Amino acid sequence: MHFDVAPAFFLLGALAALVKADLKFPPALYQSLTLFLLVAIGLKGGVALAAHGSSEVIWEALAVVSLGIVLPLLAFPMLRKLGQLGKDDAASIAAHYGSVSVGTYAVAVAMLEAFNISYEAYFPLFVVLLEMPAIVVGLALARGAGKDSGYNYREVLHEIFCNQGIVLMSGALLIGYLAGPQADSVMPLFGGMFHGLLALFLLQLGVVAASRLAEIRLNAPFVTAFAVLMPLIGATLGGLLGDFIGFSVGGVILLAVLGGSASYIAVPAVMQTALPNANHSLSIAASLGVTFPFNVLVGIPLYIAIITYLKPVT
Amino acid sequence: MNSIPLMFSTVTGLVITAMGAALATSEIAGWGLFTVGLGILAVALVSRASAAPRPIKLYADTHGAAHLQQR
Repeated sequence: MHFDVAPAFFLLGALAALVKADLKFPPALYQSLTLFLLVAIGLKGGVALAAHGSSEVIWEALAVVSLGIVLPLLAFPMLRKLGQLGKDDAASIAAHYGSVSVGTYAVAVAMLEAFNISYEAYFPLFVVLLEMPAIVVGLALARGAGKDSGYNYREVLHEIFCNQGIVLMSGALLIGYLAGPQADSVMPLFGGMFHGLLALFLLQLGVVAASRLAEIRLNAPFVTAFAVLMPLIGATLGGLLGDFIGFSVGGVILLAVLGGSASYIAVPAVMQTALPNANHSLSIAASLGVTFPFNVLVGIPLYIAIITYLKPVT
Repeated sequence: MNSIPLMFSTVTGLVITAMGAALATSEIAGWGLFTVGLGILAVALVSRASAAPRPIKLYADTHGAAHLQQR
């Protein structure tokens, strides 16, 4: 019987929060685990990019970026017309769902490795690239992109390009790319301990996700439905795009996972600066309280099952 | 709550439940999606039920009437 360790730790954390168990993580530990994951994923991707990268990666990257543009454009009218949310709220949530979750990506990688499914190891490059376009589209949807949009562009651009996710992942990616095999000296930490620290990260995230659920009470029916439907739409588009690009089975699964995930690190930081009047607890509660648990417990195994059914691993 | 978001969540719940059942019975995936669909449907139906208008209960203010009679 196959048993997924990572989701089990997530469930344990969520359960502990629901029964109000005395499970306290020091805030610095959660922050440290996030930093570790960002650096580990970026470094591994950079090393792989140095080993296997070619000019084809540029075209693949451009195609992947288009996914980050299309997803918020699909989400926004759903949120406005079907959810009847205000413009700022809809734009903020659309940006969250067009961007990606590093935690979800890490769980998907752990599951692919558990199933022995190989993938394009330079995928962290796409994770970095997919963080940004949805933010720009989300801000344009909220107020337009002209001079009279009212944004403090300096602050917004600073948040987009200098948030910890982008800085650490792209920095580690570059270091890994430049170091190549010489990065082996730090791999016992960033490679060997990856799964153990991911389990701790998910334990903490389980606690956070369960405590966030209460914040969607007012819009519970719509937000719950949207936060499950949107990942399914994103994963379908991501999977189709991955197949069109010609990725391996593992690559198609990872792009489906990225399409189906929603940001809860980079985008909230930008939106709080750019759209201060939006209901930020609603977007975080949807992405972290519903979509992240859905993807970890149901979505990723589902994407793996459907894609391996349609495109058997050779 | 407004009827359009409620309708959306009900329809989404039904569609996801049906998709989950189809995937599970054809043994492509487990029953996870089906369960999630049922959960969405349950949230929508509970919200619909609590949003429905309730009959107004009228109570005779006997205490107040007695008070007036004493005067």
